[in-house]
Amino acid sequence: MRQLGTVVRQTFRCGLVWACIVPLSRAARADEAKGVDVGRKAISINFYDEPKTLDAQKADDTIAGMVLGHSFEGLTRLDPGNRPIPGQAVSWEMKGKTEYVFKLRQNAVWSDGKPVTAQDFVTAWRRAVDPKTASQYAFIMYAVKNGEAINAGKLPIDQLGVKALDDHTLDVTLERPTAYFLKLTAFATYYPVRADILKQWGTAYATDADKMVYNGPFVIGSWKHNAALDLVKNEKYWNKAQIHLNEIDMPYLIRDKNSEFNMFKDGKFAMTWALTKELLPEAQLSKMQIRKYNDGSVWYFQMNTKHKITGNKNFRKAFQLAMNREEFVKQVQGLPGTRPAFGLIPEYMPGVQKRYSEEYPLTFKDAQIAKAKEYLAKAKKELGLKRFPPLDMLITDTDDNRRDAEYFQRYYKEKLGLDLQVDVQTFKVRLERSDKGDFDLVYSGWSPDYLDVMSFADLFASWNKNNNTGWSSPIYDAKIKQAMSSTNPKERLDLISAAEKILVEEAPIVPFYQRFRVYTQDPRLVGVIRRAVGADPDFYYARLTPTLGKK
Amino acid sequence: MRGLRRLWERSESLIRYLIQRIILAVVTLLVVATATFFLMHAVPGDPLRQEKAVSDVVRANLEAKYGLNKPLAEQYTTYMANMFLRGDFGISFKQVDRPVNRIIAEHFLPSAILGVTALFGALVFGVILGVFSGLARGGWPDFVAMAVAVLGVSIPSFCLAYFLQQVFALELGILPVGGWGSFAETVLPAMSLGMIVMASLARLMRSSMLDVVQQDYVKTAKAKGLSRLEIVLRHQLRNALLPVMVYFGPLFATIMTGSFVIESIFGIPGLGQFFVSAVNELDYTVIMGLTVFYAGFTIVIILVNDLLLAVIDPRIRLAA
Repeated sequence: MRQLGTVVRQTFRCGLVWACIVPLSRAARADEAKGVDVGRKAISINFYDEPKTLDAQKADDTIAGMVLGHSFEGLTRLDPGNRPIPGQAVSWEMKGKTEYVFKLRQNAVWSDGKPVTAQDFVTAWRRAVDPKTASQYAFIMYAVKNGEAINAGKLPIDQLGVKALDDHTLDVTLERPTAYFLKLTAFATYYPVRADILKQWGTAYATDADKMVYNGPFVIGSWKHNAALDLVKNEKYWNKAQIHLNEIDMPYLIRDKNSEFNMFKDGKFAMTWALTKELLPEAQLSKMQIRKYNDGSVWYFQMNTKHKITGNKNFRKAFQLAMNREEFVKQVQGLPGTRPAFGLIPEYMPGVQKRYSEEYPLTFKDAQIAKAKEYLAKAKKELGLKRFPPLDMLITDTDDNRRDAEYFQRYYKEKLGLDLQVDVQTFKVRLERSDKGDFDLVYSGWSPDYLDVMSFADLFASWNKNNNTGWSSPIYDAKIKQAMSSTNPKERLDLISAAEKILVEEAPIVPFYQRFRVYTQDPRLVGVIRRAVGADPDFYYARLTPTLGKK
Repeated sequence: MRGLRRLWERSESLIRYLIQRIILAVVTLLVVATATFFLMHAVPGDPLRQEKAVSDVVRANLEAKYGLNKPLAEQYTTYMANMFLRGDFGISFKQVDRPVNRIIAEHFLPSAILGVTALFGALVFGVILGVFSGLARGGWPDFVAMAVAVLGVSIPSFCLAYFLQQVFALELGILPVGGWGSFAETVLPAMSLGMIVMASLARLMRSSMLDVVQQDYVKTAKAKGLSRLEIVLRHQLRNALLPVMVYFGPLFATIMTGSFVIESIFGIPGLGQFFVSAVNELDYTVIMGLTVFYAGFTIVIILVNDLLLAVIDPRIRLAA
């Protein structure tokens, strides 16, 4: 077979490929594409999606987070343990509870050689909250004084609590004490931008690789929209000695997970982004290195408390208690690592000393069918119903959503005799109908924007626009507000935990799982950090080692 | 002198024909654009709503940026004027600040290259298979060719794509798994895309050949003592190709504008992906741009096809 292969290959190369040269510039390069090139210290990975934008103040998708996380740097950056460490700022001090003074590095420069100044941060931050920018991520800047008021059009942008005291000193006043502010400054919205570059390109800023300048460990060498993107080591980066990789090439955009896996098997990619449940057995059989990581998201049903049935607390309790999360995670999800969710806040969130989940454990017994039936009987009585009418279960038209919804449909029919009607809609329609409250229960999820419990906890406050349940609780609101201004870590988390308990007790949402992703990686590539927040995967600490040999 | 006059008369009618077709094309485009515009706005869902909800002022600014704050009729007239008078399709909602014209320009080429490769292969192999099975009716070449054709029509392209990847890329290692940029990388996607076309062409060609065999001119050719090859090439093939040509034109437009499935499996930066994603994302400007572009392209191809048919088949008269 191999001989035949060689013959065919030769014939093909000589006879066809080189004879019928298609005038495409990448011809030679594409043949070279190699997942791992130890000699050149280069890797190739899948460019799995086109970023909606690479304008850091507007960026909102994970691929943009990955690209920007490598080509830009904020005042701080996150270390492998997700703790903030100095980035463009060399040091900082706190004045009182709401003021930070950052000292910028003298040797921090942009990729065109100009120094990174405090003014570049002022420009960027003002731009992020400017209603004219219309950034989806403006809310993350609300931590800075007047951020929210400016974004709502109530104050001019120069009222934002950020000042350049000199070229290398940045003074920041916060809206209220914010315990996690140094994590926020590592986030893309907080990256600096140059006023002159913005002016030069106008609305075309950051729409191409040459229409922006960079201050991170890599620069974008080339960006072919919806096709390829190449990150090349930034020779002007202040910490370039620590950066091992010379190139992170993303030569192909492949959305299909089977194909991505085939490319990996063929040695074209150094790692896969994610494996499906169906691909896992093959990867295991081929003895590939299989890794898992928590992508940070928590998934739950939002119950419409404005509707008759789902507005009944006993009904919601019945739904919550009957759910069998262990079974769902093991049999339906079937990916290693995936964990059941009982509350809103994921297990990995940092607590006071240890993880939040260790300090404030929140579990109740799974699949309490008998108790659920009692609650259901109460609900029936209260509502004066003989039997429950079918309920509208709104989901997005993804394979995963469908599979999960079908499972729940069968499960609740079998255990509680409930009729759930699966209502499949496109993403946009699902969102619109969630906003309008046009559902009985909706399959929803949330990924954190920063690594703090607050990224989840305020979701179901009455003022949060992402709360589609129609549920509100003055006590819950009060606890969240108090926690927002608290700087005492213990007191803060006590409040958050108390708020989460209200959410579990009232059950406007019924969480069911915390998602993990499973992927394969070339064993010669080490030190890649997978994150729930920010640049994921993060190659800042990545190295190539020849010793482990081929996979 | 008489020849010159005939030529003038013919070209005069051709010009009149072309003008009529062009007017018809513009009207068709207007109807298509108008229908798409209003249907698209009638589809439920909010194009500006993203995963994270934004403040009311930001929302209002976004609406103003894309002109969604104006009455629908005004949006329609502005959009149509920009499109037909200035050829400007606007900027994409999803790919922030990228002009739709650029999106089409950049992504049409890969789709077109792939489409031409697939169609060329399908045409060559489809015609050969069809001719052989037509000539050897009932024999084993007919059986084999038709078995291939039936398989080709019935196997979905994505199954074929994975199968080809497995065999030619992973097992034999002679072609790349996916990607875009060299000729080798077009082979597997072109095969996956062209298989169904090839199979239908082979079947069409076969029945067309069988049809032609019984015609009087073939009998005449035989009676004149022409060789078998000459009969097949000059008399049978040429006439049997006509129905194939009729089928080929519209197909050409479809294949050239890309395939969502094949592009996503092989990682090809073509136009096909946007036909699906733009609708899902309610990317209004991209939906409009693609629809009008596709409609225009189809109209041009069909016109060219009609003209070519008239050249090949003297029985066809051009008349509006």
